[in-house]
Amino acid sequence: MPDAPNDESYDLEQLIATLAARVEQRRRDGVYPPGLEQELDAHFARLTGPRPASPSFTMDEIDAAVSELQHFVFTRDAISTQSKLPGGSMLHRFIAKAVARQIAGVLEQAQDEAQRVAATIALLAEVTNTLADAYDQRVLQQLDDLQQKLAEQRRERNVLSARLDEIAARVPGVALDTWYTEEAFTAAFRGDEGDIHARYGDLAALFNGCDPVLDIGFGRGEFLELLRDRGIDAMGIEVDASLVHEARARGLRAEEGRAVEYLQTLPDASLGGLVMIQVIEHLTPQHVVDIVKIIADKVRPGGRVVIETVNPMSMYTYAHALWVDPDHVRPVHPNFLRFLFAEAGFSVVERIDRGPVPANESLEMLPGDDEQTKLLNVNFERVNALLFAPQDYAIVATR
Amino acid sequence: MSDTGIHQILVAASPGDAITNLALSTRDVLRRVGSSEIFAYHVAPALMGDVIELHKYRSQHARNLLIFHASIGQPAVHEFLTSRAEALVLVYHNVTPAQYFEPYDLNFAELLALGRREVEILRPGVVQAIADSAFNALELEAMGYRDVRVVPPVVDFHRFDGIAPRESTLNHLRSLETPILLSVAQLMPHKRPDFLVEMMHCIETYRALRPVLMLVGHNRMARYTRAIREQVRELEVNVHVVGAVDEPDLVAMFRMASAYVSASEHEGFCIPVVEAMATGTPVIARACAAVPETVGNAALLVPESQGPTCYAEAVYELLTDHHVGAELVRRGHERVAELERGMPAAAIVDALLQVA
Repeated sequence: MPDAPNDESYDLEQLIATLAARVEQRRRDGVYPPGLEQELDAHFARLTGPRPASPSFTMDEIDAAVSELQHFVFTRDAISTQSKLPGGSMLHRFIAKAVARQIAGVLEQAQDEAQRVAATIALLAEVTNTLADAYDQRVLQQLDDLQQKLAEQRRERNVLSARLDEIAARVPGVALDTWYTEEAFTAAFRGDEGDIHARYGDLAALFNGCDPVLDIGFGRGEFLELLRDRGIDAMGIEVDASLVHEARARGLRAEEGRAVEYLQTLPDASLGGLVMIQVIEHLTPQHVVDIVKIIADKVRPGGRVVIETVNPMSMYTYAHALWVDPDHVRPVHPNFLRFLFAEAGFSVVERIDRGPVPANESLEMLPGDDEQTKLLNVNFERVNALLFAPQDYAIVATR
Repeated sequence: MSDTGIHQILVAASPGDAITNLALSTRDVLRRVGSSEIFAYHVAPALMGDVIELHKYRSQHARNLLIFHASIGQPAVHEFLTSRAEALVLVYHNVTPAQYFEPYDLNFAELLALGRREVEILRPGVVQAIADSAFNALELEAMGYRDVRVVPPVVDFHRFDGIAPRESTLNHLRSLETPILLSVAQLMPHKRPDFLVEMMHCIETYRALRPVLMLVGHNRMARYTRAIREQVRELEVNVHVVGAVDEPDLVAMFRMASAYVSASEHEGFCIPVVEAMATGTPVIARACAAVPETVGNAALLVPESQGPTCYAEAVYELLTDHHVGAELVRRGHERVAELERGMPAAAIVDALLQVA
């Protein structure tokens, strides 16, 4: 190989000569078996040459038989006119000749008949041969066509599966497959467990007397612990197997599963309470709609449902919290969620604002009480209400 | 069609066909100087409107110039040409020797043989013979033609540049996770796909590489296609007889191919190797017919006398030494530019106007 690939003198002809010499050397070394290329050519020639038609040897036999039949001649010579009867030969010969003359006509007809039979057999043989040929061709053609179609369908299947992969990759929340653990993500973005206990104590209190309670998407299991501390019978489901494992290790009742599928396995009116904290924003709109209906079936009358989620009425949320989690599909508007629960047959549906924006983040009011300052402060309040509304809200619905 | 002009005559016009494409681009050039139409004996439905059926040719104007693209025989077209008063220019794209097809399709072989005879018979009426390669010019001269002009085909070698590869095909080809050897040619005996299949046997069995060979192109000859499929099956090689594909798929294949391979034994010019160069794909071909003249020093040319083992060594070299590929890609781009400089669209018009 020349060392300088970008050199104009890089000699491809020389390279080919080297390769040809290499082939010769390999032949001598026995790497390429003797006669390899001739054998390959002969192989292809066999494939393209005339096919050994399966009925051909039969056809030869038929041809031979037909030919024999055609050449067979009925003749009087084959009929003996000799007699070995003592003294009767003259008489016998006379009778034989007379009979022979009479059977000459019969022989002629027999000959004629034999020719026709021979011709018919020859025709049949040819028809058979043609049919076999045509059949052979047709079957091979059909096989080819089938293989072609199979290959086309394989190609189409490959194309379709590739497209499905593309589409799946674009659907948020469906195909997110992370190499980091959910635990690491939660630790980075959700505060420590002590905080959580303090933040959710009030919501846990809403489930007094609502056993059993199901916590969907329990995460690190803080809310399950809060319920347990209050003596409320509770269990949770979670898609992440490692979180389930950890919750069980802490003595909590936990199952691995997806919300809608799991709920469908429960008897109707079998739950006293149901809680979903920071979960509904991970669902597609269709799942949100579906799950409220199923919850309505599974929670008994008088039972209570608490759904906490990010508040899309706060612009602050958009900037700070909502899109931190790449698995968030879309926020759910509180008015829509209230509407859903009311439509699904819940008698009381309330909204609780949660997670106020730290006071130092919003616009400060101006001191003074002159008209201009007051007007400005009213406007500040409006802007604050829009930009710095509470970060979360919870819907509390009673069946 | 009563106006005077320079009109082109084809036996058959079908989309994707090299000669049809050539006639279409030539027409675009000719229309810059006057009226120009394409007439063909067989017109594929997709080209109706763009190409006119030959029986609709009405002009009796003796000042018209007719350009006949010769590549196969057709008695009706021949009769048309010999009966016209217009001056006739012959553009010879080569007629594939009939013997390649005799074992598979006697009718087609007969048309090819007829094609050569017809080109010979037309000679007295031809005012200018044009060949798209020196190789073709030699053949014409052997038939008695004189003053044959060599005009490279007017082709947009960069026709794939503006076409986006189909994403799903790219993904599929990526998922093969093996080097792809691409061959784009109708599955015809003179293109020698069987040689490439044998080459695959050599490289897989004796060089322990397992690339995949994709044979892309129309399978018009059932019996031959069947033989190739059987050969692939029996030799158990990694070869896909893909059939015809559309441009986004083809662009994806060029994008992903490690090499463009051709084993063709008979080419009057061989446009696909140049198109491969234009897409930045290194080319390996056999030094047969007009191919060496077309590729210049920009392809790895396996001598005609060498068999599939030597070809396999060339493929092995290309797949294992990236310098070879990089050099071929660089030279390929240069060669395309060189061909484009050598065939300004005006060259053919120039040749024609001298006659007109």
